[in-house]
Amino acid sequence: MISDGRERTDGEVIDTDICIVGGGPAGIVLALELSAAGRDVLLLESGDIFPDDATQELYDGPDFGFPYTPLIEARLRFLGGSSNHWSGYCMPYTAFDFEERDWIPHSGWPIAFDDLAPYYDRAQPYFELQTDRPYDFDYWADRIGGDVLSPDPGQLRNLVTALSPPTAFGYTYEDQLRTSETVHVLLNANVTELQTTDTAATVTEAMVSCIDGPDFTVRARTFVLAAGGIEIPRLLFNSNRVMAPGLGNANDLVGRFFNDHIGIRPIARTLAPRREIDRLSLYTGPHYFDVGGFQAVLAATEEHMRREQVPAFIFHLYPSAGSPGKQAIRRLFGAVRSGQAPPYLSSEVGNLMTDLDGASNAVAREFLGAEEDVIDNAWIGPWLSMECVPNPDSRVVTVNDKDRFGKQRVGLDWHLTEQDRQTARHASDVITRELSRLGIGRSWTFAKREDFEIPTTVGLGKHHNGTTRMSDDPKKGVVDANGKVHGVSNLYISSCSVFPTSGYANPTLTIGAMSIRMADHLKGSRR
Amino acid sequence: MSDTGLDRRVFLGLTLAAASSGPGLASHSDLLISAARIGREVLATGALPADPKALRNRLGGHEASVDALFTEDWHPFIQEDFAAGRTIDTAGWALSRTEAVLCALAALSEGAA
Repeated sequence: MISDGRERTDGEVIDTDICIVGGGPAGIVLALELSAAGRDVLLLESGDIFPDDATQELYDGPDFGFPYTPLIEARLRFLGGSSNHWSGYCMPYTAFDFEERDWIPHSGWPIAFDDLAPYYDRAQPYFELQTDRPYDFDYWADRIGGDVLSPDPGQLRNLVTALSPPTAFGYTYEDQLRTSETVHVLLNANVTELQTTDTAATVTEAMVSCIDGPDFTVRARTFVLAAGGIEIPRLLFNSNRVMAPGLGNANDLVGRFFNDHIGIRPIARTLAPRREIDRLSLYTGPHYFDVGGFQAVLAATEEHMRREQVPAFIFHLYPSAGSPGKQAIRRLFGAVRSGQAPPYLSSEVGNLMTDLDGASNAVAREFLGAEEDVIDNAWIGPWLSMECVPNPDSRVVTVNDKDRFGKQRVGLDWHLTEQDRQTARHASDVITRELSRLGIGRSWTFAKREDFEIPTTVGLGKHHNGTTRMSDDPKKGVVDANGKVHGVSNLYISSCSVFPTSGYANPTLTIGAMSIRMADHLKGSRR
Repeated sequence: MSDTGLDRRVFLGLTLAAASSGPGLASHSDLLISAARIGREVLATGALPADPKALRNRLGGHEASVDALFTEDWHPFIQEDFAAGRTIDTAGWALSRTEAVLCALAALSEGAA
């Protein structure tokens, strides 16, 4: 059933078995799995079926660190959550991702890949993905056709990104939720605070407010927070009547270790004969089937990461519309318009000199209004997506500002590290060498320079990982291996906010798998 | 950046030479001109000695004329260079050490002509 929280009575108390907060992929998958087991679920979604500005505004908050997408835009706050604007890229984490890696501080999960493997299989259909050998690269490459690269296994490997349509969970599962006899979705229901027993050992009720009313209360045996990695810390910070630092925050870990994937697009530009790019058709774009799709990428191998002691990274081999000269002239034009000198001013001029064809194309487009390149270049622009290392100083923090419900807003204070900078430089070296070794072409990159800085225009995954990280040790994590908040008997979190590290995989499939795993855990819990 | 610059077509020529066929440079002499331009940049970085004998030693002491040096026989060595990280960065472009040596020889040869 789906109904509107605004139709409830002010002061009403609703009793349920399991209360889920957040109607994105994590919450919807969890609700449907619990429903199949006959458990009564109340799913509280802040937004409606469609977006509205007043609800979206509840995300608003400042950015104190490395420039980030405005928080009011980074995630979506209506049924389906951020699956309403995601890319659809899916791949499981590798077994290696779950290990403690000596060279990555704070790495290591309290679960292993084998603990999650069966749940990945069960998650595939939710994302409308292939279930027939979905990550078997050779199998799909053979069906699609095109040359398969043979990268040095000491460096890179071929990897499948399975493509979801992408599934918009609110839209796709609306009918299923609407007709469910055991799941009740309550829209426009903003959870503003969790109340607890006097020792904060058990959550007793969730305080819920609708914009322009009413306010009501939900009591449940079990509460699951299935929102994003910024809103979950905010709710815990605001649930501070007993524990002043916030619920579950006895060890000052809530909100810390904020992490995201960054993408440098492209990290290099590889000049290749046109025929080389043509034969890379398997890699240079997506391939969709009746169910799901396939995108070939090159990923750092486990052997490479162990040997070089680097975090995880992958490359998409997209044709590049921008040669070095074209990019340089655009940056210079932009600088002239803004009155600011670009970084590496001297090298921008150098880039023009090294790529007069590209510069000519850019001039034609900027000044002459040309829609096509006047000189046909053949470039590959490998997109780097990389894992940033966990950093306790990257934080979601409370700020001196309140939302329309009188609850404290939060801001983001994200910091990239020297290790992240070196990862990008290292990755640029790997891809430029490997594409040259494979005979595809010769590469130009700005990232190997000693003074390279990660550009502030970097691509962001908007994957808000780590802010309620998972660990068996309450001093190192907010939740345990089952996603239960340490020290609180009936509060769980299903979100990428529990991921201790990010790997190179987009997190959404793993979020789904973790939700199914949590559902199995809760199915066995006392009613 | 020196006044010679490194036009992308120079690198395309090198890439095409590695691929040994296809459209691009009109002739072997064009390739040598491109290689010499790259070679001047390589030498300007100081990564290689401006000494033909020392450079030839890095190629196993080859005595052939510079013109005759530019053959496909170097491809395996170039691949090995890239695999092993034996590269020289020139104006942001990554060259294998072997091809950088060949280009430097072309530059020195051109200077002597």
